[in-house]
Amino acid sequence: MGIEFDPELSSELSACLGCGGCNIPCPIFNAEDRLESSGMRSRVKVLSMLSKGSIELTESVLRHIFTCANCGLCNNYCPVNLNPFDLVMRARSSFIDMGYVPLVTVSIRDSFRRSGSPIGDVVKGNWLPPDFQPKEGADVLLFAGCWMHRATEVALNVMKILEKISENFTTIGPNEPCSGAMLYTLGERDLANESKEKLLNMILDISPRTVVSGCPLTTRVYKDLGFIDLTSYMLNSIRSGRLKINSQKDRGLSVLPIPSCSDESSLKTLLMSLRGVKVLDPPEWLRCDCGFTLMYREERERFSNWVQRVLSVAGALGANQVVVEDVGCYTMLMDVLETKSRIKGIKIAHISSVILEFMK
Amino acid sequence: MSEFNVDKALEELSSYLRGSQLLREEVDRYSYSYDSSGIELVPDAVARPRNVEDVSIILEIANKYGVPVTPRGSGTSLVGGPLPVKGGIVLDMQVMNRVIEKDEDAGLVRVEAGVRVREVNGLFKDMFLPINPDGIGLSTVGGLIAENSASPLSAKYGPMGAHVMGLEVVLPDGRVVSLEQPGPPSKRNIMELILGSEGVLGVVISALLKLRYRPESRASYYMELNDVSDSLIIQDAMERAGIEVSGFEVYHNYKELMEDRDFTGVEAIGFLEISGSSECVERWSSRVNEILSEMALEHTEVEGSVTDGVWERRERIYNIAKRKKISIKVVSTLSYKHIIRDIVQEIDRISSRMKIPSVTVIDPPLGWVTAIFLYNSRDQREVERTDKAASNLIESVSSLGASIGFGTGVGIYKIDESFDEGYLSLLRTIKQSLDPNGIMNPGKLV
Repeated sequence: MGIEFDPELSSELSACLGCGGCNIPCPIFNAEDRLESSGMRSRVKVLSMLSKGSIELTESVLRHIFTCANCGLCNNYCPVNLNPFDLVMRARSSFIDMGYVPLVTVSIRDSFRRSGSPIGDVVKGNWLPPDFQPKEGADVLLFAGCWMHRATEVALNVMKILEKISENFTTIGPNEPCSGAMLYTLGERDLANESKEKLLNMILDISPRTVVSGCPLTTRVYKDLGFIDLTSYMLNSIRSGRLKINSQKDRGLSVLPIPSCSDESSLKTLLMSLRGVKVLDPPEWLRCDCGFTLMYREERERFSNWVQRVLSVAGALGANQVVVEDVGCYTMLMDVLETKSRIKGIKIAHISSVILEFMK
Repeated sequence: MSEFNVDKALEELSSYLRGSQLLREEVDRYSYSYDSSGIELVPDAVARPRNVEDVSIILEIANKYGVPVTPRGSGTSLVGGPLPVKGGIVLDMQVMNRVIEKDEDAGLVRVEAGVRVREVNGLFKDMFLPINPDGIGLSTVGGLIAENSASPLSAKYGPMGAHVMGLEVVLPDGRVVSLEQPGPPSKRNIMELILGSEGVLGVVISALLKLRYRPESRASYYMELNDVSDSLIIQDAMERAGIEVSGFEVYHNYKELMEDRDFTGVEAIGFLEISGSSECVERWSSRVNEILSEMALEHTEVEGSVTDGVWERRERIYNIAKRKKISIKVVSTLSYKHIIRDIVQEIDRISSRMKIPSVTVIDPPLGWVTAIFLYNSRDQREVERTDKAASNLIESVSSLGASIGFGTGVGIYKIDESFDEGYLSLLRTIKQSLDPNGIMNPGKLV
């Protein structure tokens, strides 16, 4: 007896021809030496087997379906446009509706219920003055996102940059809810929508003209919100002259960018606009954002392996700096590196600190 | 359940292979149970060697305990080539993906078996490996060698074997042999025994490949044919005129490939490409136009970057499948020109009798005819009828004098014993001598 997904999902799962195109950009598949069970093809095929009833649903099978990097890059590589990541997200949602909740997501759901954030307990807005209140009617609003609340140093950098770009700028502060994007990828649509609604109501109260998102996963998953990624916002500001960059310094930087998982990532273009920076071309699988959180929290060894692979790619390409777009990715990476050895001569930085260094 | 106990072999292997090099968890086993054929066969374990020594020790231990070993590349086979028919160990060669050496002046590269076509094609700007069966360059060099794969441009450049200059192979008892010139001429013959042997004689570790120059100029044609026989007449006219065809592919029953509104009612459509120096292509091009016009065939010349799209053969098939949400089963045959028409009719007959729609792809220069059955993998009765259609077709084309497996390998299908008795007996003798315990990819080819 197979798992009863809705007929449309079952039909799409069986239309997968098993070509493996979706494995090409998969960060984990590549970091783990093309291990088939790490890639997206395996998840789609295993779901198809479950749907046909050729295998049984077990905790490890369920865990397999829920634990990928959630990067969504595979959607761009399917020759028949099946959008494998979207299929897997829909299947996750079906499992939750059927009452099959994998143990591996329990702690994420618990932290979300406890503190309103999927990344674990976090004190929000401690980088802001104690009496901070969001400025109603501000032109620009920063939606910081959960990870920025944890990375105080990055939050302060971002504040400095945004204050330079816009005089009429604000953020939500200690009461900022999670957008729910991470939970959405894990199939927890009700919880995700509840949190998203809460966030939208707060934004509505402030009524900014532009919402800058510090969480690329949010803009990637909720394209309809019309938020702009921090990186794109900085790039647009440089192009329009609102953010002035020092073009005289030649720092001899050889930079390997780690873009977020969004198709529209501007990280590489932004770095290329900085004079004296040699921007290296990352392999197609070298992307990272908050979608990696589940792996970071629950499969630490795999995440560490990915980090080590990133560093060896950086070393092989001759980078002296790795610049990360997503604050969550930066924080997770630094956390792992604190307990592991660093590769000599390669500095890890968040894009905000690089921009700050180049600002006039 | 497998007929044998692999526990002892795996226990011994675990002192050589670490961590994810030896996998037995259900999710890992399921993940190595499929390829692009739509068939699922679950192994008992997966081994992931990093180097020739690992492969050697894996085979030595598997051989000691009689455990089957099935080599696997990136799992793009259409015929179940890397699937473990008898269970045992799947040998995932994808960790071995290094470019060992390259020499652009000589056009030579030595790569490990797990290197993909798209990676080989990124090595030199002006040179390429003209074999790309899946159209997206995912197939590994080891897989292409094991199946002696072909793709549309094989009309000009030959199948995979034409580009292999040397092989390093691990035999079933763990011995490593290098089959490469210099050496007596018979050394090449032994190497050719491994080409297309579908992993039943040993494991390909690395290969020395001769890449080809990308052509300076190309011209491609789309044509509408009244009959499959038209394509054979065109091919004959090309040969007579001394025109070197790079690729020629004809789709019969192609209505299945199109939206209804695009279907013009002709029996077949074809794509033809010529390539070479600009002067040559210009001269040939006007002759091709004359030939097609003399036959009163509707045709258009396809230019520039579109020519690549013409040969993305698998992508075309994928798109059919997506549009109709169906799965495909492929039977590939090779024959002489005079029986191509009969084979096509036989595919039509079987397709109609089994009520399984099909598309037939004919490659006139090679005599290569591929039947693609389109079915719903969620309907068990349709799955059974499709399997029967495939086995009936193999039986009938064999009796017509065609062979199966060209370009794809035979895979899980069976060669017709009565038609190929002499060959099979010889192959079994060779297999027995190299692999007396029958551990290499059992259930395939022999």
